[in-house]
Amino acid sequence: MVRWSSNAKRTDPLTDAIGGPFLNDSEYDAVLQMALLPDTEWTRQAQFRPALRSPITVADLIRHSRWFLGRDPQKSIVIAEVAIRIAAAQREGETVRAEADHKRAEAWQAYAAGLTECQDYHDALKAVVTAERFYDASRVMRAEGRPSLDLIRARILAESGDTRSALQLAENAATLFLSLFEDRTRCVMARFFCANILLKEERYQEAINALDRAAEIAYEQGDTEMLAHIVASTGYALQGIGNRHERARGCQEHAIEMFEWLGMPVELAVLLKGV
Amino acid sequence: MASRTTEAPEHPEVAEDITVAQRGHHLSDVKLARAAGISPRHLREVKRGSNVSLRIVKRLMAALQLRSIRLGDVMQGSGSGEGVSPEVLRMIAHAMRQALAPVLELVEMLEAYGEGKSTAQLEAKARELVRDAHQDVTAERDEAQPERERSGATKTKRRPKTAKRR
Repeated sequence: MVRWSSNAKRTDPLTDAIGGPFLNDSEYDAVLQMALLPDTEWTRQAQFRPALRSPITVADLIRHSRWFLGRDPQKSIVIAEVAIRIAAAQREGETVRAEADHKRAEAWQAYAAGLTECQDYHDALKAVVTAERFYDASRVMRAEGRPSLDLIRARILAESGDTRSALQLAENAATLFLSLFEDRTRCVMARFFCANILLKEERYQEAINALDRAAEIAYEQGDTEMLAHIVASTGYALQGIGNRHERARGCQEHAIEMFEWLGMPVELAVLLKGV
Repeated sequence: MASRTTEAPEHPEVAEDITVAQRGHHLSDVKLARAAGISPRHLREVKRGSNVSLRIVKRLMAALQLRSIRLGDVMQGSGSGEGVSPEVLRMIAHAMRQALAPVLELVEMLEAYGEGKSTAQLEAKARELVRDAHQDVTAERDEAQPERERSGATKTKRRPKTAKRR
């Protein structure tokens, strides 16, 4: 039986392309070519190219897909599609079954995240359901797994108007991140997500409560960027309440100062527009 | 030599693209300059179509989320031919500005530290602002609660005044 080896990883053109920390244009083109391969050709190639059925390749692709998520979601989707194909081609004997299922779930999750970013909520939900199926089969619990997928589902629910379920899911995810995985960074993200839903709903007092809880952990973590976002959102919430203009202005001015300090021009421009 | 104000703009397309995007974002000159981290004088130069450094244009593009910008006819030459070519002077000025850029950034950083700014201080102030906002809102809600109870809006047991949390 052919076994996966680090040598094989180095010699395959696809793993050569995706092995680095970032994908340049030509490296992305190599991934795109793989996405465009017809199924029959893919199956043929996967037989003699171990990289096309390796969990390591899937992990690399998922990493790149996540990197492109906020920058170029279309690319993120294409990369996730290739990850799904490779994850599906994993073989028993080469990868432990539970790990293989977990990788398939992660690939589908990356795909769902890309579709959500492109506002294709219908297909995103389908991808979420498929990912959930593989997570259930895998029974491996990781922070980047099921609870993170719940956050994607929560976003889809929030966008379709079911904010109550979205909040419940996100709050559960935040609790899981903290209690089960001790993943404080993801916990802050989940709480910030909750706060933003509440802000959108004009439930300002509850939003400030959620922001305070997020700020507490972000401060402990030394997460300057997240704190800048939190203090900016607190400013919006205070502005929304109506009788706290001075406090609101104080928060917004401090957020501006922080974004300047961090060198984040896009966030700065958005904030300055509202001042 | 022609005065500065009567000079034809050298990069009208850049000026136009920046101005249109600025209008689209409803940002004033001061706010846009601040967001891009450049001086308002530089912004005025860009909007006048002057020959500014690529670094400034890129900063403005980032602030305005512009993925591309028109550069005009890149084959067109410039320069008066009288004495030293203005283009040469501009190239020298540009090269000097590029060379000074890291130094100027360092100066800005030193000024910031001189003002007592640091990441830890910014974080601490952010935390304090959010905590204050939370306490303020919570205190108001707690104050409003006994008010409602006194007016008979709810039938729950009244909380004594001294038990108010602030």
